[in-house]
Amino acid sequence: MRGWSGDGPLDLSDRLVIVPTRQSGRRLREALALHAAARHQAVFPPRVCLPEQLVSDDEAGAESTGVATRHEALFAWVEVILSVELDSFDELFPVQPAARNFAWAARLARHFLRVQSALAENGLRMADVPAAAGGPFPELGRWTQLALLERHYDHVLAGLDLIDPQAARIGRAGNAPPPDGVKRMVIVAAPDPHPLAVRFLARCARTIPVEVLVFRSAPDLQADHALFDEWGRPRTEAWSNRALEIGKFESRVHLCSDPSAQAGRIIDAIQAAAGASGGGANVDGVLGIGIADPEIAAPLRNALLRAGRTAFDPEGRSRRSEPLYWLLELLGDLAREPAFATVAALARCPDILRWLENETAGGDRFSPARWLCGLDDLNTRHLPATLAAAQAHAGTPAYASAFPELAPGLERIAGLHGLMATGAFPSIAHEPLARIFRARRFDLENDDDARSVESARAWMQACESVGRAARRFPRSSSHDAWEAALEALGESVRFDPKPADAIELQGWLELLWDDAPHLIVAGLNDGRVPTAIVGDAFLPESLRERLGLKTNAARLARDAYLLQALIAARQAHGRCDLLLGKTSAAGDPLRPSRLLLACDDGTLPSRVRFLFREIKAARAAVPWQRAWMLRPVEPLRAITRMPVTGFRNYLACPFRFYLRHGLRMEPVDPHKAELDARDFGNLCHAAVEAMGNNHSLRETTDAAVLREYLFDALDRRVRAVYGADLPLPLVIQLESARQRLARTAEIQAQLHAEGWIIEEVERPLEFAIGPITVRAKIDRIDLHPESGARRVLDYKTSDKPVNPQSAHLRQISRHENIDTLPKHVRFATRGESLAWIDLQLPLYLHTLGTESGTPVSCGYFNLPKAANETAIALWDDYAPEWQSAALRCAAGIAEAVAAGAFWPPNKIDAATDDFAALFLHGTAASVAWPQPAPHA
Amino acid sequence: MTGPRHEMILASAGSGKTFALTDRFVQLLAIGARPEQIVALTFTRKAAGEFFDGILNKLASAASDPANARELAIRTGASRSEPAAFLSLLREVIDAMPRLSLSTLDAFFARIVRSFPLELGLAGDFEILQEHAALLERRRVLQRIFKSTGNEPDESQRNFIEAFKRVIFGLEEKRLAARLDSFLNDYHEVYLSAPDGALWGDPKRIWPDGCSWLGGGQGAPGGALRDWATTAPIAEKQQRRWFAFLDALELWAPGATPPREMTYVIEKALAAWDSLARGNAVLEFDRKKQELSRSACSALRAIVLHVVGGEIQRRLETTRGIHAVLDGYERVYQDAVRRAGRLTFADVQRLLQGGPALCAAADAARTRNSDPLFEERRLLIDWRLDGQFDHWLLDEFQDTSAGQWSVL
Repeated sequence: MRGWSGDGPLDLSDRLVIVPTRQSGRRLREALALHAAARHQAVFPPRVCLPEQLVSDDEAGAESTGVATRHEALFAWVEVILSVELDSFDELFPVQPAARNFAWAARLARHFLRVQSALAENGLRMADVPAAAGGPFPELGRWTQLALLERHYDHVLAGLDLIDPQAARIGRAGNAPPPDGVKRMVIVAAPDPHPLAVRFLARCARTIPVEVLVFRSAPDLQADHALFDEWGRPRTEAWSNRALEIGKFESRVHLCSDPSAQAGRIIDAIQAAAGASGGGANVDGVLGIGIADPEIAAPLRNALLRAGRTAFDPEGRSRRSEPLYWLLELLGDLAREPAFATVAALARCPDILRWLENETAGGDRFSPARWLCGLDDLNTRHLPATLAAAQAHAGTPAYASAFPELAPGLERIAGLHGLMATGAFPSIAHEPLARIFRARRFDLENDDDARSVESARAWMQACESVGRAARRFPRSSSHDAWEAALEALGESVRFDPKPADAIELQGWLELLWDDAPHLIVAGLNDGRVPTAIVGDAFLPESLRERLGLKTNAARLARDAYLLQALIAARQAHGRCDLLLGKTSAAGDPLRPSRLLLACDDGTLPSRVRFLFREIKAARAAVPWQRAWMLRPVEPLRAITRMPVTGFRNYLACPFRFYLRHGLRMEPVDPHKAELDARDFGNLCHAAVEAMGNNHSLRETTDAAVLREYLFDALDRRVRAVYGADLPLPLVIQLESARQRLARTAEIQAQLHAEGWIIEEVERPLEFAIGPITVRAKIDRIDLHPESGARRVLDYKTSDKPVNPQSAHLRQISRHENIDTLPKHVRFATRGESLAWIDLQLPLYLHTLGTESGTPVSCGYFNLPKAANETAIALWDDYAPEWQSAALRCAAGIAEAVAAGAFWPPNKIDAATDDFAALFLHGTAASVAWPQPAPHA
Repeated sequence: MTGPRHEMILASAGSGKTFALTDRFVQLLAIGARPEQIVALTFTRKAAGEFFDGILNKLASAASDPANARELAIRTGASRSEPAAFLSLLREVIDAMPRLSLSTLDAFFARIVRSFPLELGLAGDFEILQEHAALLERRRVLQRIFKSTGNEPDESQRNFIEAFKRVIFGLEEKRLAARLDSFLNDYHEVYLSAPDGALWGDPKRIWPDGCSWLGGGQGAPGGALRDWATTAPIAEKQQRRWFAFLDALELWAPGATPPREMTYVIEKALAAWDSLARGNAVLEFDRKKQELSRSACSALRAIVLHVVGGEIQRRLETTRGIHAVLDGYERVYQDAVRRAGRLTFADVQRLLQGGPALCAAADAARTRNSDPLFEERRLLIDWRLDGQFDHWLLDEFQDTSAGQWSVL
């Protein structure tokens, strides 16, 4: 701009300005525009690029010049890796891979591409390494083989008239003329351009002026040439051991426990800056924020959000965390295998929910809640392994009526699978999305919609690039191409425009361009500033040095210069605060940056004591706590009817009773993969019920006949509930059920031989206990016609046989505070104090006794794990006084239920508590129960 | 001062072992070891942080105070005791910071694996799975194993079912997923440290000289004992004990918990095992002695051999079954998780234990210098890791597993 009078537009269009980062380029353009505008003039901006862009083409440029795109390079490497004899490359592959497939080769290919890219920084290719290393080194043989492999790779590309992109960069650095129309090049505050870029600039400098601008603000620094080389790079020898001036060290350097603590300190500074500037949201130009450790960005973003502010990350956001990425990943899984688990995950994607909603025709209303509920229900009841199995169940009238979204929704997802299973790439990548989004209207004024459209565009570009490569290298399958495109999308970055008043989270290299008087830099830890490479599979530091690649020492020198410049610029007017962490978010210990220890000998011990002191973790004393209390909806639901099992539930815990019977809550396991205890019991019940209903089997004493019948009934039931296509656990569980039923058949045959017949099964009961109507179904009633004896039996399929008395009563311990038990729950008999834990069998006896007028006994038909323990366990010494105690208890419970007495809760072991996930630090501490208990 | 020797510090908790270890680090520096030549490994991340803080604070304190310098010199045997000497060491440690190998064992192992992916069968860089991520991977693998059987299970599924049945050995088990989960919790690490099926449940390997409890019987000869109990001059209560024992025996099968009726008699028999073998045992039931005939002794001995041998046989079979189940799981896991570059710290360690190319170096190290391969491999390891490790300090050594030690 020197020499611009301001009389006409500021014309810099023949300049090429080289800046260190994208953001610095944006800042430069912005500053030029403001500068020109101050004189009411327009600006014709210069071309701006990063050093590495000087010698590289973008993807579009590559296409036209015969340079392989990154995907063509990737696929060419894959081709080579999969086709060569690995035995001939034993130095490189001392171990044969377990599976030589595309996925393995692609991972390796990416690694080779990274090595090529690193070497190209100094104009080297793999083949150049042995010579460039300047003497023998331990891996000469390995690099010789790598060079040979690279030659194969070049050959494969050449066969398609392509050249390697790094070879093209190197060639361009050596041959290409300065960019068209550029009459002057200016390197502005770019402290570490790659040697390859420098080589190109050096050549350009022979024909056009190349100017180097170095940012310096401390007048007492040594002469420039002692500190910087001719390209503005800090000299390693001058900066590596230089003492840095950090004034008021102990009040400017802040040791924080972890990333969150650093974020907290930044928020405090932002609030203070906003307060000082009159409380406005905008702190631009007053306070600059630098983040040298990416781990701090997430807690800081969240903290800003909580403080009502927005963060802006000029380095962009990875698309890997975007909804589209997740959607595509699941679609890829669906294409590979239409498992129900994948469908269930896909069904929860917001885009799928919107699609299904849009597709729902006519007056029907799509309810996302009902759709997801239906899927959970389907999984809980039928355990479908595949999408097809789920569709078979969803098509039944019961599901069609309860969850009308289910069958059409699954049908639509099956349609997506059909598209992807039969098509070719890239159409399989486009068509599912086209279908999912076809009825969707995107409002580009809406940020979310604009982002979605932009991501979709990125996906299309990735598919196009991969598709072109895949056509040239047909060894890859559609699925491989999909994975490659998804990887490309995940690696890409989204750049958003900066929202007004957003707080900019600048990277370390951006900070030199920020002229805010107050700068806070967080993450001043070693490994972050400066970064360091120690150990590498191909390019360890010692080899990097020998090859002239960027070294740890060069990084240290660059960062020492940057830090000194940042501080020096604010020495007279302003301040620079430096934050560093004691640990990472995962708790790994962090060390202070060596830059903070770059001081004279006299100061070093006190710096060490200051930086390596013990500090308290900010969050150590904060335990997990509930964000809010659970508050039952008022008025409480009145309960007038309940199943007989409700008594057991109430006795276990009145509050959980209310959750189950009042609010109808029950646990859902979304990852359920096999029958739970109830399902297993239901299957066995169904078989024995069928046997009991078959009167022709009433007197059969042939166990084999009964067994076959039970097996058949079981199979029918399994097919009806779970279909023919069973997941593996069910196959085993079914076999387990068969073993139990085989033994049941033997016992039943024996009972028949003893003269017992099954009189009735699954007998429904309904009776009143106080104000409550109780429902029940008696599993079976056996009759001995000869003696007239009758007994009520309940099946139990728990692993261990159950004793009726211990299932209904427990002894009250001497240490127990008896007052905590309501009177109706306890009673004394035969010198023992007992408490009821269940009332099922006594209530059956009560009902049947009243009904038939004849004495009836009761017990369990146990079908436990150990076959020899399959037997009827009768409640032998059931006494009449127990019956009246049981009825008193039932009446007491019925009164309490009717009165809405569901509080306080009882303590239940979390391992057996269905509702444990709801409670933290105990039930009482988690629930705000309405006091006094109102009820409807 | 004398050169450092191998040293073990054995002391109770809180007595200053870690303090002594930091002294040792300073001692090594004082005799000229470069900081990056010292590997110092801890078990916890917290300890690693405290260890480094301890060293630097110790050096800083000695560098700024002559009395502290003298004290540290005495403790570490350093030949120079002036602050300047420690200041120079302090500067050396700081300069070497990025090259230091002072970390947890896990982090150190991960660093090595990152430098040798192809030698360890990996295709490139990898991701370390933290606890929750590892749990999700396990779930994914189980889902793959549990996938639909179609109309018939495929071969791998049939093998899996067979293996599972061997585990439960005739006892039915109604929860596969839950049981499998508990196998993985209980035995997965054991399996991974010894994946060879020959190491699981092979009686010849466990008892090379034979096991006297095995091969004892073709069934329990209860008849002879029942005959004796029917006619022997014993009290009715004792007789009932015998009959209850024999009745329970008929219903019992290996794997089932023997009822009290059985264990009562078996415990008595085991207590009189030698005399049973001699044929003149006297057993006491309910404080009453009874003399067993020679044939009764022989029959009871055969029964006990049958029960104990049957139970051992079942456990051997179960052990083989557990191996087969875990082997089936591992195949899927290896394919779906590790090969995709997702490793737990335990995987990292096992890779290092099993990596053939690196094992060669480790083996050579054991026979130091006797194998020409040693120097070559050692050079390679040093080269890739940008270091040369001459000194090893291990905190909480008692917790170092054999696997970790073999890697070191």
